[in-house]
Amino acid sequence: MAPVLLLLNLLLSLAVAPYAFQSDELHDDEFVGLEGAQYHDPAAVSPPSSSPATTTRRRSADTGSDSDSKVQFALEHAFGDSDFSPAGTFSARLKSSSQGGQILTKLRFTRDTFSQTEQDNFKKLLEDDDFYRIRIPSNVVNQPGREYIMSSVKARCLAQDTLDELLVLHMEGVNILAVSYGPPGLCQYPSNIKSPRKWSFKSHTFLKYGDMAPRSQVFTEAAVEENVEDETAKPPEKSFWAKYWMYLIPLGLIVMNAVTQAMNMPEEQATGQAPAVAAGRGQATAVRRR
Amino acid sequence: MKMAIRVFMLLVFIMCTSRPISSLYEDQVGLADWHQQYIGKVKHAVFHTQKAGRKRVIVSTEENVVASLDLRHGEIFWRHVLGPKDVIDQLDIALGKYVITLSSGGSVIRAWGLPDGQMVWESRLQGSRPSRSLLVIPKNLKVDKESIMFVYGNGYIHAIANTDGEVIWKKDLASEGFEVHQLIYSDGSDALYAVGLIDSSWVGVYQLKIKNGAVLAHEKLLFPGGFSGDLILVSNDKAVTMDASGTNLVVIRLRNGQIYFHPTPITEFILDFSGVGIILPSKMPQMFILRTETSATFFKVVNEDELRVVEKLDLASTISDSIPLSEGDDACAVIQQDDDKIILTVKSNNNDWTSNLAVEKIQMDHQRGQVQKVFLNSYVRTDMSNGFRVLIIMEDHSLLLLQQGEVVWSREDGLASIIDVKVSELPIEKDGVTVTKVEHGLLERLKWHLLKVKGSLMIATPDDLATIQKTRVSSSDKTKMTRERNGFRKLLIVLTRAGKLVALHTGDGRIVWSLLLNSHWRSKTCEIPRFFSLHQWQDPHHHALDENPSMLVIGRCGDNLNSAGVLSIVDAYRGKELDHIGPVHSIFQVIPLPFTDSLERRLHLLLDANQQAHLYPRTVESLGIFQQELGNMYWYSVDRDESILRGHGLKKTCLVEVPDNFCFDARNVWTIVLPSDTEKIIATATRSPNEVVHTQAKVTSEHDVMYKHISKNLLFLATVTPKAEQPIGSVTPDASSLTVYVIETVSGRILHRVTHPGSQGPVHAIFSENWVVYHFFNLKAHRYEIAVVEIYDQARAENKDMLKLVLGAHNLTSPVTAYSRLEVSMKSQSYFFTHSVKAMVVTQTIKGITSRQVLVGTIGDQVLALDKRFLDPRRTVNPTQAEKEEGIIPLTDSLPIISQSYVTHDLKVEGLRDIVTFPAKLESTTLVFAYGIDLFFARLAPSKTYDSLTEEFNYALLLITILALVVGIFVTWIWSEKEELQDKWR
Repeated sequence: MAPVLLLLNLLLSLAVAPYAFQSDELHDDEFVGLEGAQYHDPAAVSPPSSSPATTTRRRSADTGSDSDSKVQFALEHAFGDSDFSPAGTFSARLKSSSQGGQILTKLRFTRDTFSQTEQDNFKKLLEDDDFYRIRIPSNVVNQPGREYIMSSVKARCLAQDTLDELLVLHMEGVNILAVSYGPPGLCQYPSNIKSPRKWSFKSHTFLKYGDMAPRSQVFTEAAVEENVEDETAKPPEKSFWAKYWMYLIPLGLIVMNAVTQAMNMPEEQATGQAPAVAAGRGQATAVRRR
Repeated sequence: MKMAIRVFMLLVFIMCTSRPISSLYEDQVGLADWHQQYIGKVKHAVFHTQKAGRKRVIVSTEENVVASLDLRHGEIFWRHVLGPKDVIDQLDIALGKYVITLSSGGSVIRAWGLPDGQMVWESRLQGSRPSRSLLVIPKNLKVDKESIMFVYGNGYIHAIANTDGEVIWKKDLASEGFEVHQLIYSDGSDALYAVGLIDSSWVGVYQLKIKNGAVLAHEKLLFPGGFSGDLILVSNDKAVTMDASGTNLVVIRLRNGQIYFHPTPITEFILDFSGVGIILPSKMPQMFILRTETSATFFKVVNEDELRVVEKLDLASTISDSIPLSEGDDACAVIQQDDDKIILTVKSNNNDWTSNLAVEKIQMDHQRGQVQKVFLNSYVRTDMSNGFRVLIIMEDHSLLLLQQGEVVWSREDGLASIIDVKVSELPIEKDGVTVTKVEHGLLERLKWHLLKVKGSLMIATPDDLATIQKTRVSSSDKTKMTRERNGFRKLLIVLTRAGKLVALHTGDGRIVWSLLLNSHWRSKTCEIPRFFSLHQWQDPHHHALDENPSMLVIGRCGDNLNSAGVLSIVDAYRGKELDHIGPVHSIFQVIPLPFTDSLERRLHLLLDANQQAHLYPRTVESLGIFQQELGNMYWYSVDRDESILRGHGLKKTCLVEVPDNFCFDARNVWTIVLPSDTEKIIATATRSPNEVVHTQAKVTSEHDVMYKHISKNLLFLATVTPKAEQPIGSVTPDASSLTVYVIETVSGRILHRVTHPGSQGPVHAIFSENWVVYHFFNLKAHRYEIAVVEIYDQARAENKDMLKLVLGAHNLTSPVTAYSRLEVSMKSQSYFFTHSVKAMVVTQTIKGITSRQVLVGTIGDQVLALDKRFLDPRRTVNPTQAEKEEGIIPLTDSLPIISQSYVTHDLKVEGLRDIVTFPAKLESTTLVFAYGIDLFFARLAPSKTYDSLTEEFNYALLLITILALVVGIFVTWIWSEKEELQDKWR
């Protein structure tokens, strides 16, 4: 019986194996960090490279295949409710994805330094505790797409020693869905009106593609397998006492009861004779009394 | 001794085998729950009173219900709810035993058995284009021994057999743009006439052969200028309609296949006529009714095509179709309203409609509004004269039967179309009110307790048992009008589509008060009020003894989003309108703010269509409170057509012509643009604003702490590929995918985004604490799935070290701002689920300690309670012993459906639309109200009632047991004393 079960188990596990396999392949969550190697992200696989924010570094090794094409799109900013003006440029490569369509890789970001008026505007924002706003096109191929993607953050959140910012671009093919914009760490609260010492940006940029929903392996097979396992390797046996204590206690009580009863029996017999004796004694006493 | 052992063994055995039962006992049904059945606003009514059997009226309603009601008491004999898109167009009775319904724009015809409502047959009628639908059932017309009826729908005329629904012939008349307005069949003839219009300017008549539908004759004639409105038939050869200008009445005469027109200007009859006249649809021989701006006028057609004014009535009058009384005599009912009375007049055809057969004055509840429809029925009285009864439909959609000057019965069918529900506490018990009641009922209470004891000792007779059950169900305790300690007694304030506010008592579901706001709101500036939502305006806790809670009702003047808004504030105890504001700016969205003023009125922000926010109540105090928090106000808007989400903040002022301190301009803070060619928004979910979370941390079996990411600013969003918006089955798995998002709505950050390939909507989702549960269809597996996502905070995950906590080296007390970088981790899992879902909610308890249940409104119109434990993403196939102790259930493929966990037991909440839950004061208990066409209310204890004895607990038995024990002690003591004494004497 046991060999048959083992064989079955083996067969099942063989049958299950292809289904149980789940590719852990993700879209290339390609990211290029410019400046800010101290910043830790659990999703990041390779350590981000760092370079001065104001220059664009091009690496000849990163040219990739010839079919790739380059795209550029602008980051625009606004102070409070003012109009948007250019503030930086993203450049990236378009790569055809394995699922069809194109995806963006090798994102680089060049941030322009603040001019004097912009610095003044920013200080004003700090005083008013107002929003520093950015926008980027929603489609990198047909710019600006249907509408600009916008995000805002309170100016106080960016103003550290330098201006620190973290941009996470949520992508779907060549469409940008949203940008998460904010400080790479905590945002200070309440506001400090202290303006940054250095008016240069430390920018961290990420591209993020959607994930596939996890789905556990086909359960039914797993359950069968588990059952088979149960048959072969039984859990350690419970002790006799642990199993049957609920029957044993009443039994013990009954036995004890019976024993005491049995012990009482002779006594009763003894007492059965006693009245006669007592009567005799009684007589005796009565006699004595007389 | 042996006996004692046996009894002991038996007890042991019973204790071993018995288990606590989680479901309900038969005698507990109706104790804490109630169920009410409705049908909705009646559209058609057909009386069935000829036979000696049970008198009934067959109705069809706007909620797509066809029902048979008892004419004596108004109870439902039987009822069928057709699908939401299966609108009933026509209703009639055939052969005296079938109820015929024509629905879905004349494409589905069904026959239902009259006595029991069983479906007899169903036919689907094919057609080429949508058109009006008509149903004509001749009395005795037989073709090849089959009695038939005629149906016009989707451009075709069909002849259908009454007995089996077989289509005998069909004829397409729509090809030439001909639209049939009336089908005419006069008894005994062998031709069917179809009269209609072609392009609104030609009148066309088709004469069809009854046997096979062949066209016998066809005639059409141009009316220069054209027509407006419908053709109304006044006899078998005459019809009336209006010309295109709406100022001339046109009599159309059909004789020997020829068509004649006879236009007459309205001013000839009504001298002060202005504007446009409308001919009301009616069925009266030789008569029709013209409605103008000032009056409703009865016209009679005499001498071929002459018109004569018979009577002029005011606009508020309602007229029924006429019914035949005897040979050549017809009657119709006219209802006029006079303050709180309605006057019913039954007019007779004899003497030119001037003689009245009956005039009755009936007292009518003011809160029912005006009469909207009348259906007349006659019966033969004991003195052989004609008696009349009328069925009237009121403005609040209630249904009443009037007979002999009295309201015989009434049905509150407005409750079948509830828009919004809020709950209100009852008044606090005041001194002197209840004490007398208790004293009064002391004897009854004693009796009742004695009965209960008898019941529990199983010595009660069946009669006693019946009394016990009756008293339990109708216990006065649960229907009292005061607050109680456990918070089970409350008022459910519901807003119906008709614009009526109704307060229902949770104890037994009775109506405490009702208020028809529709009539309050209707004015020159606001002709068609539409109701929108209901909000808690004032909920006094500190002033609970001298202030009543109140509700805010919000509506619009018209269906358009840009139409002006109206607000009403209504006292929740007395049902009186306290304040009325409007018409004001348009109302697009209502945001109840988490602030209250000194009178405990809640601040509300109303957004209009121009993206301006208006603050209510409009007081200086509320403005002061609001301006302090102005910088922290954010909201989001979802543009479903464009697939764009926007986040908004507020500016300090508002750009309008008239300066308004209570108005604020919105500013766009963030934008998320989803690619419209691949994603279409189909569902959103947010946390309930008044949800209570008991603990922020979750301790796992490894003595590890996981911090829940709890934020009120999270939005769950589901999108599908545009193709997958269509019903299931119309798209292949490869072309369809479902993407879900969790978005932080202050900063507009996407926290979580996953795609379910090969899946599609409809998506139902709930967001509670730190988790989202959503229901969707998996096309690959051909099954529904429920997925769960739990969000945990990683930023605080380090706060586990006790030493650190003691030394204060933690970030638990640092201010939380939404602009800081969020470090969250997601755990998710999905399970197969058998049912498709109509509504999904999560139970709410007062402190949030009790474990939560997901309440699922199933497609079968029932409510299923599903433990959140089953929807745990941490479930594994083989949980360790520690995990098992923590309560983690082994991972399974699909979610189990335990039949005992149906909250609705064996009842159905027909046409279920939504479920609401609200907490009782007892932590273990939550109150559930499910509504659709029916209403259902129940009390639910997701983790059993661990904090109180049940109402069923028999205190008397406990007392008697204690007494018996005390007596026993005394008796045995005395006995033993005696024994001892005797022993000593020996």
